[in-house]
Amino acid sequence: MQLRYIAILSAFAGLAACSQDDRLMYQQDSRIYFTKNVVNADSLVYSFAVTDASKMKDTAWITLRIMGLPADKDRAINIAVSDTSTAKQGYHFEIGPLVMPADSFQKRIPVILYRKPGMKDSILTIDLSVQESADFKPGYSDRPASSPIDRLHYKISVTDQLLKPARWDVSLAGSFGAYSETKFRFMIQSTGKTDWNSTIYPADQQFLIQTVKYALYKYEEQYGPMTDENGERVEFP
Amino acid sequence: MRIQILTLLSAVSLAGCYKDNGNYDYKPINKIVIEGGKAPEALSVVFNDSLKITPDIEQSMPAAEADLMYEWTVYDNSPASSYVVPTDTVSRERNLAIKVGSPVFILGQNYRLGYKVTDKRTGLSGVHYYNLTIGNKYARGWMFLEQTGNSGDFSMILPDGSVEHNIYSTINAGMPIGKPVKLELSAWSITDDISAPSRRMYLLYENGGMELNYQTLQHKFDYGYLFFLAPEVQKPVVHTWVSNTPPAWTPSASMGIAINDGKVHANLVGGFPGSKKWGGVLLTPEGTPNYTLSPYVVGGSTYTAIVHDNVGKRFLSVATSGLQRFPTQVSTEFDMNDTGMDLVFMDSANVTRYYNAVMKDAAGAPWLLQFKAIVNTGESPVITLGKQQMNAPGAAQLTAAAGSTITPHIFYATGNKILRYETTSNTAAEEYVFPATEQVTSMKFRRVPGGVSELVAATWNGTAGRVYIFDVSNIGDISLSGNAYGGFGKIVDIGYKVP
Repeated sequence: MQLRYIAILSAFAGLAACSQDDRLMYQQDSRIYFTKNVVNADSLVYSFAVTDASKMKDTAWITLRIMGLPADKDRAINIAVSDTSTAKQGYHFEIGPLVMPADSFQKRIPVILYRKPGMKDSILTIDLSVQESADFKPGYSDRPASSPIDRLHYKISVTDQLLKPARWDVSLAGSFGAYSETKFRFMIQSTGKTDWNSTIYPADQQFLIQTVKYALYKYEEQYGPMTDENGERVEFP
Repeated sequence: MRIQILTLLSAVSLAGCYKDNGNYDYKPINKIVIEGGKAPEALSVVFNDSLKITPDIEQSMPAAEADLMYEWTVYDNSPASSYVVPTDTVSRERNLAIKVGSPVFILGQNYRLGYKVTDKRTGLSGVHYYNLTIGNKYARGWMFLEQTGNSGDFSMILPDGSVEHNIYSTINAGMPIGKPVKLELSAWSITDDISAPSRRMYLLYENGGMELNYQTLQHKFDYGYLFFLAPEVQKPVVHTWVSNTPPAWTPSASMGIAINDGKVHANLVGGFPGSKKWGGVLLTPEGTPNYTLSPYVVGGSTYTAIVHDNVGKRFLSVATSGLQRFPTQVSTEFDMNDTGMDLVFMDSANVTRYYNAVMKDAAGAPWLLQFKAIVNTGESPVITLGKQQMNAPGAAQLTAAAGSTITPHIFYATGNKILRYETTSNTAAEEYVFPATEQVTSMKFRRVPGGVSELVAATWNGTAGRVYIFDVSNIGDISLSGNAYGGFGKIVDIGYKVP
């Protein structure tokens, strides 16, 4: 009798080894964070100066992504505007619906920017951070190697000044020469291109070079040499 | 009894603790390598034609024929195709011998043909791939761009000698073109990311142009679409690709050159992302668009593209950011930056990357300027090779010309005669005289490595065009090959199309 139990016990013990492991799945709370990658860096600089003078508002986009599985209902996102922000919510900007739609992993949230007189001589900042909501806790707080701030924070700078593109010295100076605001404004007018901070493919860049050179020739034909704010003649190499 | 059962159970349990002393020595097995393990090969196939491939198979431990299993599969690999296109098995034979037709293949599409050889003993396979491009019967042959009234069309003489007329208008019904100017066939496959990599074919006419599908000859893009910004005035005369790859390398396109309304536009191609289109008008080194180019462009690995400005009377080097003058030290025989003459004709010489330019001075006299577009490492920077007044009657008024790339000759035509100018001896000789009513309108030289090179001449008698094909000997003598071909319009340009 005793032996029979031992045999049965051994058989069960042996079979237990044959059980299938549960799949490793995210078991924790639903969380949310700002995506951080090349096409959606952790900060964004927007200038109304590169747009038409009649443009009084525009939209910047921030992207949020969840941790865990999507839900079958819309879920609330909580984004706080930090006290360090110099732009005023409701006057300089508004943040669009903070909702993660049902069955979604990711959502682009609109930030409506308003052109205001004070932006002519200053750069305003909107410092955003992910806060806990009824549906999400803050997600990753790590900082990707190329990002100065972590995944729970995002910074938008907005101005009406013409800003020197961050990549001018690295990627544009070789083709377009020394920076001046006069030159940059002329480049924007003659090409219609407003975003000079994103990557420009080589063939497109060649076309931009050809276009500004020809436009400068036409300008000089009519008005003579163009002089920039530093008293230097505007030229392209 | 109990003790025995307990002992047995213990033994079974302890067996799980047995250390595996398995034999892990590697045993060599048959490794199959097809076509030497080369990268996928590109093959152009004519639709409804047969495709036969006898692959080279290497085995490290050769199996008997019965132990090998073969499979040829194909799927549509065109850029616009879905990722879930079906794969068809077209053969299970060792060598492929199939008809490339419906329903598996569609004209103009690209396919990936896979060949898999499996050793049944081990289940291991060797694979090799081929990239197929499916063309039509017009894949190869002489092409003739001809004017018919105020419109244009093109015809072909196929390798079997048959003539096909009105090909453009037949394939592109309802899309008439203006007076034709030039037929451009790229020498290499072009990857411009605006359509599938392939050789390119452009049809230029007096007030526009278009790109045709190289395989189907159907209209693909309007002229303006080929540019980032369509030129306001469209008078194209050149739309071609040049290569700056060193002579020892397999040539590939480095830059596109379009000459429109006398101005040059460049197209930068390479292995970077983004669409590659022709850009804006390039300016002179002085920063102006005040120049008018002759409809010729040549190039090499040192100077990618060279053109001649008949206003400034100088050669210019083309960079994608603008036109550039040549460094002073490149000129000894003549000044590349100041020829003082008009360019009449320019073509390749019989040395790779060497060129002959027929010029005309203010008095109307013909001159030959010779230069090269390559300076090898350690060589003198000088690229000018020679300048001589041509002892060649009528060369300054030539109506058609073609440079030989096998002998130091330029074939040129005045009126109804073909003359051969020898650059080395500075002499010209009459080579062929057509009937007095026929005037030569176009000529093309085709080098045939390992075979007989050809010179093709087109004539026009005021109402009909004819084509004459000459064999060219290794010393540059020409002899008429077969009969003349009739039934053409006024031929303005000639090209040889390869798959």
